[in-house]
Amino acid sequence: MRFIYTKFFAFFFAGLVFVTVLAFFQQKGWLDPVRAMVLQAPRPVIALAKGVVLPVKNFFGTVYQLKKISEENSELNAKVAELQQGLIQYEETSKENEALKKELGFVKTSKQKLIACTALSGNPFGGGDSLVLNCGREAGVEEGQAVVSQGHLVGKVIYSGQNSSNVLLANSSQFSTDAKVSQVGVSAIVKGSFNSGLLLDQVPQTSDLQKGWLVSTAGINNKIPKNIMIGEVGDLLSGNNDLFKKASVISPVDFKNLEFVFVVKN
Amino acid sequence: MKYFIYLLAVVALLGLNVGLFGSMRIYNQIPNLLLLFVIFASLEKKSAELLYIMLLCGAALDFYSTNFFGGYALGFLLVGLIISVFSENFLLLDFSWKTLSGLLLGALFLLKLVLWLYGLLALKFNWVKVAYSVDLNFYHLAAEYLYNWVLLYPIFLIHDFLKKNIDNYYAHKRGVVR
Repeated sequence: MRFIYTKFFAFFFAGLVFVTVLAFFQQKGWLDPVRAMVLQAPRPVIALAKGVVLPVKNFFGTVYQLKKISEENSELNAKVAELQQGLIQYEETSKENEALKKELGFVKTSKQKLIACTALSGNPFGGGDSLVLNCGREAGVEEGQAVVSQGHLVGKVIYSGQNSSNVLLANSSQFSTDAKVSQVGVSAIVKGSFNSGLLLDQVPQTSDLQKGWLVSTAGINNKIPKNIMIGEVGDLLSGNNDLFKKASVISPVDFKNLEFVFVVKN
Repeated sequence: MKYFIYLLAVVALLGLNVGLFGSMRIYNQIPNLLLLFVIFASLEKKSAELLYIMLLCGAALDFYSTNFFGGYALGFLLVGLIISVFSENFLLLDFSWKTLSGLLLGALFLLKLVLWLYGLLALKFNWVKVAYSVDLNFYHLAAEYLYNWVLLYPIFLIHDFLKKNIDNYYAHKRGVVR
C-alpha cells in the first residue's frame, strides 16, 4: 500500500490541518487565553528547578569571580564618590530649572507610567534574545513600547497578546533604537550585537566620544520616551577613516537572568 | 489516562528545560528535551498517540517561545513522520547509539530549517515583526547538538519508564497479570 493511503499519513495530515487552524486562531488573537494557561502550567517545576540550581550557580560564580568583584568594588566606590559630587550639581541645576519653568509658565511634565511584569520565559529555544512577559493588552502593554529593568532599557515589545507579550531584548542583533550621548547631546543608534552586548553606531566623526559617557534614548520613536538610560560608552570600535564612530555600550542589565521588568507606558 | 500522563510529562520536561537547563547554557544554547522525547516516541509509537505527543510538544514550545505559533508544531510533525517512516522501513533491529546520533542530527537540522522557513513566511505575511535569519538559526548547531546528545540517554530512560508504566496499567486493567 502506498504511504499516502496509510492510517499514519491520515493522522499526519489531520495534524497539519490542526496546526494551520491553530495558527489562524493565533493570528486572530483567539489563542491568547490558552497561551496564558500554557505559560503558567510549568511554573511550579521551573521555580523548583531554579530554586535548586541558582544558589549553586551563584556560589560557584561568586568564587570564580572573586578577584574581579573586588576590583569592581574599588572602581564602584570611586564612581560613587564622583556621582555624589555630580548629584549636588544636579540638584542645584534642577532647582534652577524648576524656578525658570515657573517663571516661564511651563506645564509640569507628567512622569512615565510603568507596568510591572514578570518574565515567564527567556525564549530558551530562540537563542535567548527575547522574553515572554505575563502582561499584555489588558494591562496596557502595546507593541513598540520600551521595557526597562533597574532603570535601564532592556528591549521593546514586539507582540502584545491579551495576557502575555513578547519582548525583543536590546542585546539581540535584530534590535535597534535611537539614542543620544548625554554629555554632548549627539544623536546616534544603539543596536544589539548578537547576544553579546550593545553597540553605539552612527555617531558623527566630528563629535567627541569618550569612554564612560552615558547613553540614553533620544525620544525620536514616540513609543520609547527619551532619557531612558541604556548604558555607558565602552571601547571605541571605529577608526579615524570610518564614516561614523562606533563604540560598545556597557549595560549593567543581566539579560540572561531577567525576572521582573517594567513596560514604559507613555 | 495515558494522554493525561503524557501531558504531565510534557509539562515537567518543559519546566526542567526552562528552569534547570535555562540556567546551564553552553554557548548560549540549551537542550530541547521535548525534541528528544518526540524522537523516542516516533521510534516506538504510531498513529493517534504519536500525533498527540508531537502536537502537544510542538504547541507547548510554540507557546513558550516568542515565535509565531506553528513553527515547532510543524517541525515536530515532520520530524516525527520522517523518523517513524525511517524506523519502519530501514531500522531492522533495535536502534543503536550511531542511529540515534544520526537521527538527532537530522531532527535538529530539520527542525531549524522548518523554524527558519516558517519564520520567513510569518514575516512575509506580516504576522510577526522579526524573524531569525539563517545564521542565527544554525550558528550554534554543533553546541546544541552536543548538549542534546548528552541528554539522549536520560530522556530515553524517562520515555521508557513512562511507556512501561502505561503498558502495565492497561495490561492490569485488562486483567493481565505479569
